[in-house]
Amino acid sequence: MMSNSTSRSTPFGNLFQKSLHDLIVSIRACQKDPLALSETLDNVLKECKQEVISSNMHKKSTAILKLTYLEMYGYDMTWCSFHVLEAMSSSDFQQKRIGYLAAQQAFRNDPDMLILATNCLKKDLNSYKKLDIGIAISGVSSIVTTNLAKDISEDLFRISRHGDPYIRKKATAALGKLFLQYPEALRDNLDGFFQLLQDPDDSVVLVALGVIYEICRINPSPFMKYMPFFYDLFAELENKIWMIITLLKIFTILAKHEPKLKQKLLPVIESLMDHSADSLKYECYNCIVSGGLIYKEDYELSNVILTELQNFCISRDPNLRYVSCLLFHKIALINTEFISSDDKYETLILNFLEDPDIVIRSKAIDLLEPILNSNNIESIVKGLIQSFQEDETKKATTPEYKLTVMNTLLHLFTQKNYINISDFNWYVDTIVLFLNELASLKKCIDLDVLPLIREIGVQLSNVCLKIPDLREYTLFKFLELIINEETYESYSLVLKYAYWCIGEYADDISDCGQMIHAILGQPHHLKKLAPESIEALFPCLLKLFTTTALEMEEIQNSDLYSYLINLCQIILDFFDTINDCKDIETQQRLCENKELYKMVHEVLTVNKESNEQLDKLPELVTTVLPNLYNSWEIKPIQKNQQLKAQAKMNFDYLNEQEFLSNDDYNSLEALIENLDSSNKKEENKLRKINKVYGDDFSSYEYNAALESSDEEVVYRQNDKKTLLGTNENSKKDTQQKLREERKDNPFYLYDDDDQSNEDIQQEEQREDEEDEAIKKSDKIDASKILKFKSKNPPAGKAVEILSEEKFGDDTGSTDEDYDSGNYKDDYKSKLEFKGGKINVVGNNKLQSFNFDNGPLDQEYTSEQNDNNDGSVIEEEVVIIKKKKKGKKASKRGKKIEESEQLIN
Amino acid sequence: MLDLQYMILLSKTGKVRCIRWYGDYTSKEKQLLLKDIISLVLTRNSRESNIIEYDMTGYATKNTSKNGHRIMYKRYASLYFVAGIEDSNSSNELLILEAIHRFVESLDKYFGNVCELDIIYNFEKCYYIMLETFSCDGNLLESNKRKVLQDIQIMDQIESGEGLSGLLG
Repeated sequence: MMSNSTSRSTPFGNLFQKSLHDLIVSIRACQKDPLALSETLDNVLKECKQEVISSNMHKKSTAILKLTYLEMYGYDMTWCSFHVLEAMSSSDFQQKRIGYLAAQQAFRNDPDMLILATNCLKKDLNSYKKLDIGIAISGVSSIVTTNLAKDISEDLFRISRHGDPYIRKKATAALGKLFLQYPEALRDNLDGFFQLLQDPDDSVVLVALGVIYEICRINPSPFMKYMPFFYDLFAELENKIWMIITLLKIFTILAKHEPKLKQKLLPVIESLMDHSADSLKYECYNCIVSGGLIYKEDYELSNVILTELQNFCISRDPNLRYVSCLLFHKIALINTEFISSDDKYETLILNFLEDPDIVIRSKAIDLLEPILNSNNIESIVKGLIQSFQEDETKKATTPEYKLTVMNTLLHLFTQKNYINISDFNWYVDTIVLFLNELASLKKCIDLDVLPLIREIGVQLSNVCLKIPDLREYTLFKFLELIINEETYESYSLVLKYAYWCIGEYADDISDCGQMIHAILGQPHHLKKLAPESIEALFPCLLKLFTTTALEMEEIQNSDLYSYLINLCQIILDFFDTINDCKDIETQQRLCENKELYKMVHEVLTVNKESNEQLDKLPELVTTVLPNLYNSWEIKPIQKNQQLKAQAKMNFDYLNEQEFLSNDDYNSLEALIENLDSSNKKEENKLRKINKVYGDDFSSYEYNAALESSDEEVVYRQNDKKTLLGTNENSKKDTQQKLREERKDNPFYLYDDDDQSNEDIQQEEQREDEEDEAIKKSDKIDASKILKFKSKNPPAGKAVEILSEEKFGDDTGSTDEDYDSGNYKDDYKSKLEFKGGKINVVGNNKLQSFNFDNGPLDQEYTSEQNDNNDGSVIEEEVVIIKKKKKGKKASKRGKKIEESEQLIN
Repeated sequence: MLDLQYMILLSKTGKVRCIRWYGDYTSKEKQLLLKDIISLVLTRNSRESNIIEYDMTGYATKNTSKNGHRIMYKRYASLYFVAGIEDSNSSNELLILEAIHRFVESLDKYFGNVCELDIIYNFEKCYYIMLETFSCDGNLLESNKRKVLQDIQIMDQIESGEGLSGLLG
């Protein structure tokens, strides 16, 4: 039977033409040598170009066949579309067949080709030869456009009543494709098309059902009235699995569209569920689950399906396990209780998580939510993390898989205000462990792990914020991260959150001074931090510094001053190392903070030298610094509460009471007058300072404004000192000083020879510093810095979780609602039936097509109108559903408008 | 009801033997997709399922939404038969494997113990059978393999008959 008809049918006349067989042989001969291969291919292409313009039709068609073969390997053949057309219109069947094959393979959507092809197609469709019609129909359906569809819809309908089932079958398939482009054809011939379902030939019926299913997916409404017909047909099909499955698919869509069908469909489907074919069984389950035949409270029905599914789950066929996993997921979306209500499903899902196939494992991750609870979370997470390491042994893991697992787990941990977590120490340990995993992922490929690192940071800060008992433990973990070099290399973003928490809860840290040493211990790493982390570092240092100062004052430490001056100097030294930071916001913070610490440093030094009240700190440190941040305690609040609070804010008191009383006002005026006179003196002074400090004067001005009257004396002394200093020093010294001030500022450029000397010195200094720093960081013992006030970190359920505060007695959205709703929406949108979306894309017109408005017979329209009441209400229900899904509503806005018009 | 997006016959060395696109893909998408399919399919082992979930978001241009995508494949001797399906709620993966099997059975019957070489040297025959088995929008056209073969044989007879009559004339 097998023969090479191409070469056999050319005994004479084409002796010198390479046949397709020759072409393939020659290509295969030089497969191992890429150079020879490209040479051969070039030659072949050249030959084909010659042959294709030949007047010998046989030569031409063979060349086209060869080109079609080459097209498979990516060689363009659009240049010869005209010659393909010639082959298509040949009277020789073989040539015609080749022509149509080439057209289908290579020219879908080529407008020039289509215009030329229309005539040829029409001619072949009206041919008296059965097979000519057959291949022409295949051709039509591959390249159909709206215009072509208009032209040939009549012909196709006529052909669909052809005497030969082969032609009817092909015509039906082509009609399906045509309806997508030209829905009017279906509207005007709906009943005619349905006659194909009563065709004596099964193949025709199957294809017609397939077409109806495709249209249903896009727009089910025109088929609702045929439901009884489908139902009868369904009863007649005895063992024709393909047809039963197609009908089930149609039912799934119609049942979603019209929930009343449940009563009628469910018994029939249930009777099919013990059929021997797995694909049919699967379709039954899917029809019940996806068709909305199972309601939230149908525990009995869900149990039937889940029990049946067990056989799939434990099957040796991985495909059955995969589809059962999919179905579990769909069932969980209807109601997670279905699965969490019975322990046996937990074991099944845990089996999925250990499946040898990574596709199944990844799918099963989504199933964690229904089975996860505070009792099993630790063992499940442990198992999952272990599976990360099993690369070499048997189960393959991919970085993407690990990422999905961690992402899902992070989501589940915080769900419903930590309902799944019983041991918070374990929780904190686990998410810190994730950081290590992420670090190893970052190394292997360039996956985007930053969002996850950020999420971990946020979750750790949330623990600090919401669970006061865990604060110390989390801070301890943060400190461990800070003194670990790995942190800076792989997941430095987490430091942003670490800095914030350490600063905010500085009161819980027993030795803030040591903490500052620890944080600044690795300046070479700190330099490389992201700007947003450095920004978080500024308030952190300030809070730590102030806390330590106040604490030491309280315990009457003898060398209070020298300790603080030293600390101040360390911070200032650190600021010098990040002077060349390129981020503008960081520069700004750096300047502000630098001046602040300079001031503190000077005040402390002067006080120390004056030897007055060495056990008391100046007010700058005790009052001004804490006031920069210490106003309100930070508390967790529910989402969107702030907005509500703003809306309900009452500003009436502003009217009841004047903001400034008369007395206030008078004293204020006096104050302003005073200021005016003193301002002139002040200005003079500033001008002088300006000469010395250049640009820096502005920050001095700012700081001067901050000073309280008590500090004035000290401050004056300061001024004198600096002023005196400049008077004594020569001009050269001033310049030198200026230069040093600006040496790290990239905006000032100096001669290179001067610079180079300095650079070398600086470098040496820096290296020394680094060495020192490394020694220091070795010495730091985390436990010394953080002494737990409570001896044992608490464990178990006793931990108090601060509830999120909300405004008034708002019952609108509770935490639980928010969390669970969120999850479902996420996954729903993932699983959402995508028919609509896809078909908007393809250039089909069915979706927006209104089957009810058309030039129909009067009789027919009135009949339609009777049904219309029902279908309009139907539409309305759909619209409401859409509006609930915010995003969708806007996308389909157009459609809603349309249907609203319809209602009006 | 199959919603095939493409059907590809791949050799185990990663060479394309036959390819047919049912969905609308640009040639760039086709290239990228093909590259990924080859690397994904060839690394699977026999204990794993015949389904690969594949995310096309990175490639699809803005106004195409072929992101949800599943690659179904089945291996017969040295050939992989790969079919792509939309990731819709209603796809029946088992049915698609069944359809692939029907197609392979037809090939096997036609060539008589089909092997890779048969398909390499008669790629157009393979396409003709594909055309009779799957309709142009990626649905099943004929579930009965006997009918497929019957139709193909009639067409082949006409071809050779015409060739013969051309010879005699």
